Amino acid sequence: MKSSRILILVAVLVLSLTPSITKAQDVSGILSFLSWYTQDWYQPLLDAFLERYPDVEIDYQNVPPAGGQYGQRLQLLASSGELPDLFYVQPPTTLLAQNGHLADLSHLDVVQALPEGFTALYTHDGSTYAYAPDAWIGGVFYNKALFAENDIVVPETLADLLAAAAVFHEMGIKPISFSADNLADMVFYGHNTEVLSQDPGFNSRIDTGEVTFTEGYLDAFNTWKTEWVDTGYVSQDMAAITDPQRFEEFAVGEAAMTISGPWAIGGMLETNPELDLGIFSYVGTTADREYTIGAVNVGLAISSQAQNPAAAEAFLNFLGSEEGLGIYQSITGNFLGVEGIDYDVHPVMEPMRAVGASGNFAFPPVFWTNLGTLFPMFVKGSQEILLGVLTPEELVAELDAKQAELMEGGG
Amino acid sequence: MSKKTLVQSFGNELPWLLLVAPAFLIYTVLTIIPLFHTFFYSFTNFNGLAPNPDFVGLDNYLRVFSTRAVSTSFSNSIVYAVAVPLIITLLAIPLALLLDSQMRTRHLQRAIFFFPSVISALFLGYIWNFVLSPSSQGLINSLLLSSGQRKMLLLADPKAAMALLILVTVWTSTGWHSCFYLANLQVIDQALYEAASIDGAGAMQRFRFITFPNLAPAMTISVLFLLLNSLKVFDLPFSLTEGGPGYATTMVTQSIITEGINSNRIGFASAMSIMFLALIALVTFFQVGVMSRREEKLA
Repeated sequence: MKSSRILILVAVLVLSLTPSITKAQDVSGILSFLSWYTQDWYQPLLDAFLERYPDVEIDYQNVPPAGGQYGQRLQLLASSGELPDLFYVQPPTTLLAQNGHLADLSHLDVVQALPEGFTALYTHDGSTYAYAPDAWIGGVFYNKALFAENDIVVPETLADLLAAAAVFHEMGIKPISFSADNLADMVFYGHNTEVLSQDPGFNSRIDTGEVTFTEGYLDAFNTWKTEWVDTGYVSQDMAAITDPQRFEEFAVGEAAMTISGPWAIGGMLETNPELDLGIFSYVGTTADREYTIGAVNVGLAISSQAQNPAAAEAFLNFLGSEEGLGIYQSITGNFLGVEGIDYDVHPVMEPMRAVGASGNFAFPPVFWTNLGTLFPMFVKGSQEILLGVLTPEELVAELDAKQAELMEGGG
Repeated sequence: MSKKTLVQSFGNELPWLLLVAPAFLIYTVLTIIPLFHTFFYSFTNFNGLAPNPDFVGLDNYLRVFSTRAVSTSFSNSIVYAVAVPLIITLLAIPLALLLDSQMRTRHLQRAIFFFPSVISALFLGYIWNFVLSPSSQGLINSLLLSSGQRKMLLLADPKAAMALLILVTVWTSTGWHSCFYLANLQVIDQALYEAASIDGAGAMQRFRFITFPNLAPAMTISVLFLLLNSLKVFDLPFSLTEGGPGYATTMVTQSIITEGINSNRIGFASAMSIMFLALIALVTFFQVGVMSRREEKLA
């Protein structure tokens, strides 16, 4: 009797293990993978996956996101029918999904485990096409030592922030260091605190033509111009400074603040290990309008024509496991959308954990289907306003005209 | 011509045709066929992803110059394509004369001047971006600040950015183009110089009446390459300025990529490409025609 019980127990154990063993055995061959994370960064996750699935060989290709390189490569691969099995996509994925390049991932347990806020950007007509379990949240990094030396406390309103900027400007220190590429962030912040905090769905309605850039962004541009550009707090040199250069300026104490996300922390502390770094959420005209920049991270999609869909799905399932998510979070440093998993963020980012939980963050362009055309216009236009060759009114009018043209289906 | 003669003529040329065939095949696949595709797409609203684009007639062509970024990029490309060939030609000829002299260090000098053209333009752009950055961390500004001077805007000034882009291009390419002139200088008949010296011609007269006219073939080729490369330039402005500040140094090639690839507007970008191709063909045709006639006159 005892031996038969043991046999039954062994049989149950074997049967319970069989599916996963079979799965691991079934999953083999080459998994082609296009990523915008460098392989050095990503290797811990690849190693853990390969340990579970030793018969898989990963052909990992990295294309950096800088200068739109990743998007260009992805677009070329899609148009030539050469998409890899697994690849990162950034919202909006409307065109890729509508034209049948993405496999439907809605049936995967790991996708179903995500809260709606993490799948909505990658969902079209009821199907989810990418798996993004994490979100980045940005804020205003500040030099705590500089703030303390000048008796400046963390701003709670825009007026406080401008008062702090005035003190640093007077001292010959840049209040906030910007690069040519992130000049527009301040406008997005202004839009977030003054428009999105009251109307979170505003940017989704730009695509339908119900609202315009003039309605949602003109005030933010005008505030930015009068309060930051005209006062000299945002200076002309920023129209040609690169991201590494502005981070360096901030790290060595030539600027008191800069706007970015968790990915910038390592580089700044490497430049100056003594930097006393803090972060706060961007502030609105009133203290209750806390609404920072952030978005669901880039997501992993599977090609509808994947050569090895089993391995691609196995990778997503592994990524969505407790082990996979733990490793992934340590790579991206972002906040996870899956409940019940403990994880650490960089100590500097801890103040943003509450903002992440509140959901009061957004990066408006990800809601624009025509992001590829409109976002560069937004960035270049911000530079031109800083240079004095364009007015905020002219820029939002151009954006509205372009959006109208694209909605008409201009090729 | 009789059928027999035709067959015989084809038979004679067959070995040569076979030699040319691989190159012709590659050129057809990589250039001719894509060119026809581009021409076709320019009349559609193809977005690079949808398999069946709609025919939109001349809409894309009519819209090209109504887009401010695109029209600015066309004028930037023209300014760049006029300035670069002019300045490089003015510098490459004296440089070639210098490198053709009998100085002991002439081989070293040739290597030094040729060196910048060996390095990738992208890499050079990033290096010069560090040198010319308006940030206090930029090389020039950090030197100015350490000597008590105020820092300069450099690449953050739209006009200066274009001038600096041209300057970096000149630095990069002058050595390479002086090689055309150097090669040409070495085949000029020395008897001409000896005869001129006997007749009492000075250095300037020898240059004006012997050297300069005899450099005409090199000039035709050098200016042709300079014009083509300047009109088609992408990598150096992309890495040095990213087309900024604003659109101050955005070239047509960058606009085509931004509109076509980043914005999923292949149809519109194809129309831009065809118009740009027509511009390049027109400029090249004119330049080669004028300079070839000049060569014949001077010969």
